[in-house]
Amino acid sequence: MTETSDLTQIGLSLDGQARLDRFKGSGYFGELRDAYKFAVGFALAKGVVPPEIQTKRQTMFAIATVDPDGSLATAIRELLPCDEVPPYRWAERLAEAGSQMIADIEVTKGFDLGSMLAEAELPSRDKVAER
Amino acid sequence: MTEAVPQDMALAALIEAARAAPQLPSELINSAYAIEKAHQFDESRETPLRLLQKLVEEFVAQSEARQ
Amino acid sequence: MKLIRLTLTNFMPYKGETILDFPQDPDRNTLIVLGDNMRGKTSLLNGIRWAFYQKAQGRHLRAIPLHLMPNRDAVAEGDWTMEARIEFEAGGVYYDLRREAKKRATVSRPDRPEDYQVFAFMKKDGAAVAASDIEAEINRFAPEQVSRFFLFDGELLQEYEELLVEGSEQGKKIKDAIEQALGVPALINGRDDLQALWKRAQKEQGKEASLVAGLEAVAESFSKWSARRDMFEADIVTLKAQQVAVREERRSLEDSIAESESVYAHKIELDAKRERLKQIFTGIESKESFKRSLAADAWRDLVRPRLLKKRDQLQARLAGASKLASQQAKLQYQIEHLQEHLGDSVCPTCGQRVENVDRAAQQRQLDDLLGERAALAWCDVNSEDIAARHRALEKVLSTSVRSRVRDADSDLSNLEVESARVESRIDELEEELFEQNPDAVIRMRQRLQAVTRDEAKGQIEIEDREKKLAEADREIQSLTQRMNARAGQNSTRAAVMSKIFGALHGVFDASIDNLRTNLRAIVEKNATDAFLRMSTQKSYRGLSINANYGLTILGPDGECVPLRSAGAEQVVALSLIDGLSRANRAPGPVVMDTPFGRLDTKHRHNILSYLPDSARQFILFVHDGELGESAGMESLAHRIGGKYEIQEVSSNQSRLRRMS
Repeated sequence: MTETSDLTQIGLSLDGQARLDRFKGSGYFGELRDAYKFAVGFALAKGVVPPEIQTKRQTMFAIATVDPDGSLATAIRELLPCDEVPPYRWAERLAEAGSQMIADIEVTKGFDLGSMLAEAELPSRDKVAER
Repeated sequence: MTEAVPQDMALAALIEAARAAPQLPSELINSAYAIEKAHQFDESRETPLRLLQKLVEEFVAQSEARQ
Repeated sequence: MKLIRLTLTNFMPYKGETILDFPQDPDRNTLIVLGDNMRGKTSLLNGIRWAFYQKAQGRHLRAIPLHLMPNRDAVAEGDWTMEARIEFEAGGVYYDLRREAKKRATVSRPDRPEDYQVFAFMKKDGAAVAASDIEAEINRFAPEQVSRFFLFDGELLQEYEELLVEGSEQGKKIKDAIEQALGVPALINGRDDLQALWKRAQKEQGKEASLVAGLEAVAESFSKWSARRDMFEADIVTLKAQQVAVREERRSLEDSIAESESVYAHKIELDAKRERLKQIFTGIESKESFKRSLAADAWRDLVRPRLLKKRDQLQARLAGASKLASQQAKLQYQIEHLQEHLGDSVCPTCGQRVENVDRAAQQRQLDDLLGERAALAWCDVNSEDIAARHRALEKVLSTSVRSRVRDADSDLSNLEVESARVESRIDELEEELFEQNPDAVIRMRQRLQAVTRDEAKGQIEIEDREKKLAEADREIQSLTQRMNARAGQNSTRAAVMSKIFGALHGVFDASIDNLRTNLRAIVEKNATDAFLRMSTQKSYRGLSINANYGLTILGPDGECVPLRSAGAEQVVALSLIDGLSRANRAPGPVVMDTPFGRLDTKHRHNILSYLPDSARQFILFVHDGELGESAGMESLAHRIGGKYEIQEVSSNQSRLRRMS
C-alpha cells in the first residue's frame, strides 16, 4: 500500500457536500462527518467501485477527525484493492457515490436509518473456504 | 272546627302525660290542644299564640274569681 | 275527605275543558283511568296536585316550570289561560277550589314562570273564602306535607328505601311528613308555642319581682339572664336561617356539580392528555436525537456483512497457517534427529545397539523428509500479517448499532401511534367542551368546599349557642323558683300565668315521645296487617318498624329479610301508606299513578283486592300493560265506580273519554 500518497484531508464535490448538508439539516445525522462515513459505508456495502470525482473537489475534514481509530481505512482495505488507490482516496470516491445513492433513495422512499441498515444485512452467514 | 276522627292519638298521649300535672284541669289541656290542632300547619304562629294567651288569662281570671 | 270532580282547562296535554268525575258510592269506590305511557295519566295527578298546591311534578320528582304547563296547541292558538278546579267534600262541607294561571298583560310570549300570574279561588258551601285563608283551609284536610301519602306517584316508591337509611336527609323529610300526617305537629307546635308564652310570662314575673322588697337582686339577675337567653335564641334563629341558606347552596352546588360531572371529568382528562402529548413529543425528540447519535457508527453495520465474510476468510487462513507451522515443526524435528544419528550403531529410538545399520535406507528417509520440508515452504504464509488484519477487522466489527436503532424505531413507532390517538382524543374532548365552561365547574367545586366548611362551622356555632341557651334556661328556672318561693301565697298574676304555662309546656313536651312510640306501634301493626294481605310470601311473619318509619320484613323465624326485590319493596311501601292512613287520619282518597311497574301478577291481584278497602276512594292510573283484562281487573270488577280512557289526539293533545 502506498500510504505515503494517501490523503490527509478528505472532502467531496460541491454537489456531494450539498447533499450531506441536506441530510444533516433534515435531522438524519447529528454531525456532517457522521453523514460522510455513512455515505462511504453505504457505497462499500453496495460493492460499488467508484471512479475519481470528476468535478471540483472541496476538502471537508482532517483524517483524524473523520477516522480517529483507522477503522474506516481498515474496512476499505479489506474490501477494495489499495495497491494503486490508497484507502482515503477511495473514501472520497465512495462518499461521493454513496451520497448520490442515498439521495436517490431519499427522493423515492425517504430516509430511514433502520431501513438502510436492514438493506445491508445478509440473510445468513456465508462459510468461507480456507485458501 | 276540627274534623271528627275515630281516634285522636295525639290527644290521648297528651292526656296520659297530663297525669303528671294534676293541677291542670283536663278542660284546659283539651282547649289548648284544640287550638294547636286547628293551627298545626300554620306558618305564622301569631294566631295560636294569641288564642293560648287568652285561654290561660281567662282561666286565671276565673280561678281568681272563685277564690 | 272525598273528591267529587276534577275539571282541567288547557292543562298539559288536555286542551280545552276536561272533566274527571270521582266515584261517590262507598261500595263502588274505585276509579280506573287507562292510558298508554306518556299520554297524560301523570298529568291528571298533577292536575289534582296543582289545584291544591300550585305544584306539578315531572320525572324524578322535579318541579315542572309553570310556563311549560299550558297545553301547546292552545298556546299556539293564542289561548294562554290554564286552570285546574277540584271539588271535594270534607267534614260535611262542600268545597270548590279553583286555581288559574294567566299570562301577564305586559308579556307577549311567556317563556318563564314569572310571565304568568296565578289566582286561587275557594268556595265553602257556596260562600267565598278569603284568598289569605285558602291555604289554611286546605291544610285542614290535605296539607301539602302529607300529600305524598294520598297523591301517590309510582316513582315515589323509591323514596321509601331512604327510610331505611338512618340519618339520610330524604329519610328525615319523609319521617317528618309521616309524623305530620299523624298529628305530631300539634304537640310539637304546642310545646314550642307554650314555651314562647312561658318565657313572656316569666319576664313579666321578673319585672314584677323587681318591685318586691328583697327580690331586687334576684330580679336583676333574672333580667340579665333573660336578656342573654333572648340573645342566644335570636342568634340560633339567625344561625339556623343561615344554615338553611348554606345547606340550600350546598345542595344546589352538589346538583350542578353532579350534572356537570362529565364536564369536569372531561376537563381533567383533557389536561392530562395535553400533558401526555407534551411528554410524547419530548420522548420522540429524545429518541430521534438518540438515533442521530447512533448514526455516527451506523456505517459499520452497513459494511458488516462483507467484513464478516472477510474476517471468516482470514480466520480460516490463520487456522491453516497454524496447521502448517505445526507440520513444519514436526518435520524439522524428524530431520534434525535423523541427521544427528545418521550411521550410528545405536538405535536412535530406543538407544539399543543395532547390528547391520542400513545407512542407505536412513539417507533415503532423510531425503524424503527434506523434500517434504521444501514443499511446505512454498505454502508458507505471513501469519503475522493475517493475524494483524484479523485483529483490525475485529475492532471494526466490535461496535454495532443496528439492534439499538431497531429498538429506537420501535419506541418511536409506539410513540407516534400513541400521539395520534391522544391527539384524536384531545380533538374529541375540545369539541365536547366547546360550549361548556369547565372552569365554572372547577369554581363550583371550590365553592362547594368552602360552603361545606361553612356548614360545619355553622353547626358548631349553633351547638355552642344551644349549650349556652340551656345554661341560661337553667339559671332562669332556678331564679323563677326563688321568686315563687319568696312570693308564697302572694303570687302575682304574672307568676301564676308563668306557672301554668310552664306546666302546660311540660305536659306537651312529655306527650311527644309517648305519641311517637304509640304511633310507631300502631303503624307497624297496621302495615303488617296490610302487608300480610298483599304479600304472596305466606311464610313472612310481618313487618318491623324503625325510628324513621322504615319497615323491614320479618322472615318465618322473626329474622330480618335483608334483600328485597323491587316488587317486595313496593308492597312494603304500599303497606306503610295503608298503615299510616289507618293510624290517625280520617280515611280519604288515595290516588295512585302507575304503581305496578315492578309487580308480578300475583302481587297485583293481592293489592287490588285489598287497597279499595283501605281508602275512601281509590283512584288508579294505569296503562294497559299493567292492568289489562287478564292482569287483575277481575279483582276490582265489583268495586269499580268509574272507568276512563285517555286517547291520543295528537302529539300535543290527549282526550279523556268516559267508558263507564
